[in-house]
Amino acid sequence: MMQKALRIVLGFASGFLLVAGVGGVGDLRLKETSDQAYFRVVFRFRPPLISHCRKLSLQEQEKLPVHMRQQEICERSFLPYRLRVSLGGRVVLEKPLVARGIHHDRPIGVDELFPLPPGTYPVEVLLFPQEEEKDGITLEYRQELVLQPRTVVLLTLEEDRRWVRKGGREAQGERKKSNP
Amino acid sequence: MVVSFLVLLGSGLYLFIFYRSASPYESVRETVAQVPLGRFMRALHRYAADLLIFFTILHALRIFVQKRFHKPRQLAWFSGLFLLGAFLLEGWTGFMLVWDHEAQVLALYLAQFLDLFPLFSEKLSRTVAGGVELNASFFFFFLFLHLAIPLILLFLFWLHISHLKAPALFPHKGLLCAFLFCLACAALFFPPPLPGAADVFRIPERMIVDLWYGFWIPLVPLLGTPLTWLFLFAMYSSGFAVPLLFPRGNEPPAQVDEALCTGCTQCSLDCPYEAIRMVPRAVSSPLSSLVARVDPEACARCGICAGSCAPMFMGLPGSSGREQYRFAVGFMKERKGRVILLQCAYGTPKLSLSQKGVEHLYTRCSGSLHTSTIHTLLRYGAKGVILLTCPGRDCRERLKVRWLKERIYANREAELHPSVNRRRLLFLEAGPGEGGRVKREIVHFLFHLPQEEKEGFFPIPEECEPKPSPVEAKQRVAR
Repeated sequence: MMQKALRIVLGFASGFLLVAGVGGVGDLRLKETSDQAYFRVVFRFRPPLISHCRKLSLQEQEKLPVHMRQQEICERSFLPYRLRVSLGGRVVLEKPLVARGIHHDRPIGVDELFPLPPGTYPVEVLLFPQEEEKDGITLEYRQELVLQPRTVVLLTLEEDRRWVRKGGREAQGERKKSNP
Repeated sequence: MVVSFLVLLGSGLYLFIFYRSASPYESVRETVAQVPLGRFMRALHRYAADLLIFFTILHALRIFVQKRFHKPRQLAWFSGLFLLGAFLLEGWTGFMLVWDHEAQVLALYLAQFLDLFPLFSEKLSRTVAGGVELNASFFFFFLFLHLAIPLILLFLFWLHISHLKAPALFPHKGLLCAFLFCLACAALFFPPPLPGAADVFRIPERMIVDLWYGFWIPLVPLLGTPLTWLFLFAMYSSGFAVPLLFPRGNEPPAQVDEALCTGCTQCSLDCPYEAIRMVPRAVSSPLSSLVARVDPEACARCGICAGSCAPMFMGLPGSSGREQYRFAVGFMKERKGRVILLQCAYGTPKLSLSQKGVEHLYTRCSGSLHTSTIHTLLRYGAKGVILLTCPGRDCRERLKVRWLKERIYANREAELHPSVNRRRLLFLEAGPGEGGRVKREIVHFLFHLPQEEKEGFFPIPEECEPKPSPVEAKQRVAR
C-alpha cells in the first residue's frame, strides 16, 4: 500500500517536473554580451521609368495579329540605381539595386544592417542613378549620428522621397570627429 | 498530443476573447495582469504548445526507432511530418500575436527568409524592421492564420489516423488526469514570464527564446539567414526521405493457403491495416465461396493473421499456426515438466528465471501466437505457460495484445481450446521498466502452480471478464 502511494506521489512529481521542465527549459535565455549599436537602412524606392522605343519593320508587323499591329513598341524598365553607405568616412556598402519581383518590375526594397561600436559617426547615404547621363534624381543623406549601446538607428525613405531617421539622435553642436 | 491540442484549443479560445489586434502587446499584458484566470490560461496555452512539440518529437522518434514508416504506414509518416511543420507554423503565428522581443526577432528572420525568393513585390523585412508602422491589419492577419491553421491541422490529423484501426487517441484515464493536474500546477505556480514589448530601436540585454519553436534563432547570427533556413529545410526534408534511406528488408508478406481457407473472414477483421480482403474463389471448393487474399503492398508484415486463422494455414512464411505447432512439439521434447515463458522480443523486460525452472521462448510478437501453440505446449508436458507481452497500448501493432487476450479469455475466433486449464496460464503485460513487478507475479504464479484447485490467484484481465447484462448489474448493485 505504502509502495503504491509512493509510486503515485513519484509519478505526479515526475509529471510535474516534466511539464515544468519542457516549458521552463524551453525558455532559452539569450544574453546579448556586446554593447554593439546598429545602423539600419530600410526603404522602398520606385526609380523613374525609362522607355526603350523602336520602330517595327513591316515584316515584324505582319507576324503580329491585325489588332496588335503598331508602328512603334516601347518597353519600359526602371532606371538602374546604386546605393552607397559611408560610415565614419569609410564606404561600407556600395551595390547596384535590383527591382523586386520575378520580372523586376516592382519597387526596389532595401534592408541593410551595419553593426558598429557605440559612438558618433558621420553618416552618408547616397542613392544615385547608375548611369550619370540618365535623368534621375540623387537622394542623399548626410548627418552625424550618435549610436548608443544596444540601440538601432533606422534610416528610411518616405513616400515623398525624404530621408527620415528613426531612433537614436543627431550629434549636437559642432560636428565631432568620427569615433570608429 | 491530442490532449495538449485540446488544452491549446480551450485556453486559446479563452485568450482570444481578450485579444485586441490594434494593441497586441498591451492586450496580452492586460489579460495576464487583470483578466480572471488570464495568467493561468496564458501559461496553460504556452506549456501545452511546448508539450505538443515535445510529444510530437518523441512520437516521431519512437516510430523511427521501431521502423514503422514503411508502407502501409507511409501516409501516416508523411502526414505526421506535415503535422509537425503545421504545429511549428501555428506556434510562430501565436508568438507574433504577442509581439514581444522574441516575436520581433522571429518575424524579422522569417521575413528575411521570404525575401530571398521573388515571391512578394515588397521587401517584407522592411515592414517588420521598423520601415513601416505596424497596424492592426498586420496582427489581424496573423490572428486569422492562428485561427485558420488548426482547421488544416484537423484535416492532417484525420489523414494521419485514417488508416489506423482503433487508434488510441487518449492516454489511460489515470495518466490523463495526472497529466492535466501537472500541467495545471506548472501553469499555476510557474507561469512563463512575459518578455518586454517589441522595440525595433533597442536590442534587449536578455532575450527569451522558446526552444521548441525558436531553436533555430541562435543559429542565424552564426550561419546567416539563407544557410540557417537551408539547414532547417534539409533537416525537415530528410524526414520525408527516411523511408527511402532505411528501406524495408526483403521480408515477404503474409501468405494464405487458399486450398484450406474456410472463408471465416476473421483474418480480414483482425488485420489492423486492412491488407486482407475476402475475394471469390477462382476454383470452387466445398469449404467456402470466399477466400482470404493478402495485398502485399498493404501488408505490414506484422504476422497478426497467424493468430487469427483457426485452421492454422496463414501468416508470415515460417510462422503460420502449423509451423508454430511443429516448433512447439519439437521444443517440448526435452522440456517436460517445465514452465515456458513466451515473451515478446520487443518492449518487454529482460528476465533471467532459469533457476526457477522457467524456459524462455522469445517470439517476434505474442500477438501472432496461435492459441494452439499454448495448447500444444501444455499438452506436451509444460507445467505452465507464461505469456509476457508488451503493454497493449505500446504494442508495435497495438491490436495484437488485445486480440490475443480475447482469444484466450473471451472466445474470440481462433480461441484457446476450452479444455485448456486457464489456471496453468499467466498473461502479463509489461514494459521494459517493469521487471520487478513481472518477477513478483511470476514467482507468485509458480508458487501457486501445483495447487491448481486453489481459487482466486489467477488474474483475469478486467476487460476480458464477461460483462454482466444491465439487469444483472442492477441486481448486483441491489445486493
